[in-house]
Amino acid sequence: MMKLRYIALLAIALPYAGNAGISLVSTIDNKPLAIPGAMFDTPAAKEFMSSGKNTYLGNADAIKTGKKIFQMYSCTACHGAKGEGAVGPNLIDDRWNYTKNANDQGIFETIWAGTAGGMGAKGAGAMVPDDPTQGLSPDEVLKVVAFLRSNAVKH
Amino acid sequence: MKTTTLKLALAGVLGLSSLSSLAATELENLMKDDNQWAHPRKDYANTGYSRLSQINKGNVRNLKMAWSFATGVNRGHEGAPLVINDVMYVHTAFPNNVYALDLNDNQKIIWSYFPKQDPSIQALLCCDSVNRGLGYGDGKIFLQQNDGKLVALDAKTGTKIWDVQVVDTKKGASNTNAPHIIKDKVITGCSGGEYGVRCYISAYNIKDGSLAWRAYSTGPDSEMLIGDGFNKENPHYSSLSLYEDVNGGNKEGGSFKALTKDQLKFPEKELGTRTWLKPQAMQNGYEHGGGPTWGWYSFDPALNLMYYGTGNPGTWNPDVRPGDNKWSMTIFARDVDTGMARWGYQLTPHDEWDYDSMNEIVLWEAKGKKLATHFDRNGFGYTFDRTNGTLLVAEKMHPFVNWASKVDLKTGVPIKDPKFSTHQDYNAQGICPSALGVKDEQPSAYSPKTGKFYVPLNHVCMTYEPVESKYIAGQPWVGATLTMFAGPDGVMGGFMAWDGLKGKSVWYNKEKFSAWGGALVTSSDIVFYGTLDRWFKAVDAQTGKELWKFQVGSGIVGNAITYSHKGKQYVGVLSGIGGWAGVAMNLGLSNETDGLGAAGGYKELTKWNAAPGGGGMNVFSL
Repeated sequence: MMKLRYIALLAIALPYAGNAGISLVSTIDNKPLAIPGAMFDTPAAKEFMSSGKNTYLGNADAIKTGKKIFQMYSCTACHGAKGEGAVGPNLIDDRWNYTKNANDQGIFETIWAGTAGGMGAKGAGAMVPDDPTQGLSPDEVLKVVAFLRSNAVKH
Repeated sequence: MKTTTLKLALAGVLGLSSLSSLAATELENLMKDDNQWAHPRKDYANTGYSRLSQINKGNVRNLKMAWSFATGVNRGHEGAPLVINDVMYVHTAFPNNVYALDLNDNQKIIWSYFPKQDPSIQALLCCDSVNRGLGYGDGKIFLQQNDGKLVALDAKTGTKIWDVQVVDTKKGASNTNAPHIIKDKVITGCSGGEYGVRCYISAYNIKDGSLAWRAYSTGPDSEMLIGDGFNKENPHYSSLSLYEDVNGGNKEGGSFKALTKDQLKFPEKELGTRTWLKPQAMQNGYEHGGGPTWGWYSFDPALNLMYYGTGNPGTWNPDVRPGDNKWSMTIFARDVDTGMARWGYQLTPHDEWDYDSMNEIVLWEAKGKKLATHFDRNGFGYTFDRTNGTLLVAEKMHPFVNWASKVDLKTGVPIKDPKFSTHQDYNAQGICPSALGVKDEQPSAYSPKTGKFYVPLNHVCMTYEPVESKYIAGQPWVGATLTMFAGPDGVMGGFMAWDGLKGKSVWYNKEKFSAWGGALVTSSDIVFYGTLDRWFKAVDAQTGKELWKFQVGSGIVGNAITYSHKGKQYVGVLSGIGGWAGVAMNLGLSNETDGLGAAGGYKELTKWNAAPGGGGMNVFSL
């Protein structure tokens, strides 16, 4: 409850992108994701919010940081060291449980708010409902995606 | 906290003594009756041994499938059904359904039980959505659901009598073990070593599900139920530090040199907190110290001691938890009435490889001695004097074990090889065995007739790279990435007979894949076990020679059992590939390095199994 009110208030106070930007939806129920606009606080995050493009793709520094984050949050536990899959799905081949994960906006939505198939939300405010300081910032999600895309294997 | 628990335990014992002894007698009689299979490993001693001998070496080749039962559930089917008074009780992988089958009426379903569990629980199960079976006692069937709920069902009707929440799934804990009925207690464990859970073992009163006692694997002595007389005969097991740092210890290039007995300081108290040296990843490392307890528990009625092992310390990154990390990786003997620890021996101090010690402890006698034997993930086969924990034998189960050269019997401390020490951001190569262990949960069997153990094995090595990771309650907290590959024999598994006194294998058969099914041995000297490429096998207990095999519908990770019905002997096993070895396949993975590294080596499993593996019970007779 606390968390819903908190996020709702923030969402009203700081609408995230305005008309020009993309709108993000939850992979679980397709409902709009209320992410405070202030959280898109880097050039890459701002660019993503306006165009849906991940400018970190192919950026060696971002990929390196993305790898660290992938390990830090034990994504490796379910998805393997490179995202090749373990108890959770492979994230670097071309088969997806949610086809939208093939594009940058889709996979951002899935990481941010989770799925109905066992993947918990990883976005700040969504990961631990009563502690919005835990979880990834939008910028960090984009770096994780850059890391995963850099490992992609074509079949 | 401790006094309350003890008082409760005492009150429970006194109040229920007359009823409980009746319940215990009924179960103990069922265990002695070879027509039944009333306990997860048949008896308190965890032998997996039956005196049934109708199926013998002369006729075993004529075994035919008598009947089968598809469970309607996919993925890993570990454990085994119970058979009690002509009823077979079958459990399944998640969502842990239970069926009571009437052996007197063509296995018609008498009752069934369908737990309602949140599907998200499956994400907490590190190594497939397995459940290792049911317990029986006091007219009740006990189910330990994956979501932490322990349920008592009326064995005749399936009606729920009581239930209780054993672990907190919000903190990332879950359950996969079979509940074990010991006297008037239901003993159950805790999974969550990869989630920073501080695990414990719990004893509930069989009548009403009230908690009799609970013993943590880490933390203050009072919460671990460690008191006076603990490790009395082996005080050096209670040393503050077993190693000295070499080249800085917990960093790349560092390692650990075992101290000799005269260098050790003992006995010490409060080791469950004091062996988590500063700085830990978390303020008090023991508070997220793991020590899961999801194995097979044994019991000696004469000593009134139960035996079990604890698993890995959290996290897998050893550098951020300096110290021996007690009492993870430990075998405990506890008084089953009070939970108080009699002795405890840590097998892999300051674990660097995820070598859990939760594998079964089998109780046996030889040369007038009360013994206990344990085949550890770390690759050593141990034999103890079970009255006091004195270590008698610790030998490598296979020469490929390389992380330690030997175990010093004077101290009980493994001599680690610095070459295979693991450190943050350094990818250690060629470590044998892999985290799967030379043996994992698949239980061994012991025959008092041959005096030998029959042991299903993995033969897998690994690379292991500890990484920095962040603890967040309820989220995975792993801290290492690994890849696995076949060991030097060029295969991934094996099966052996073992002499527990000499610490030597008597015979050894290679297996193409991990032998991830539990063993059964009978008094006609036949050993039964299943394989991941779908074979259910009978081999000669003396020689290991294959006598019979039959191919079932999916790879076997269940334990073989035997019982008799209307004078006829049956053997049976659950099929349904999964568990750590099969999990990658169940998820449809195919890359070399898939599945905590397991899929690479196990890739060929997809040539032998449809995925996900379908669950079924397979029963054979002459």
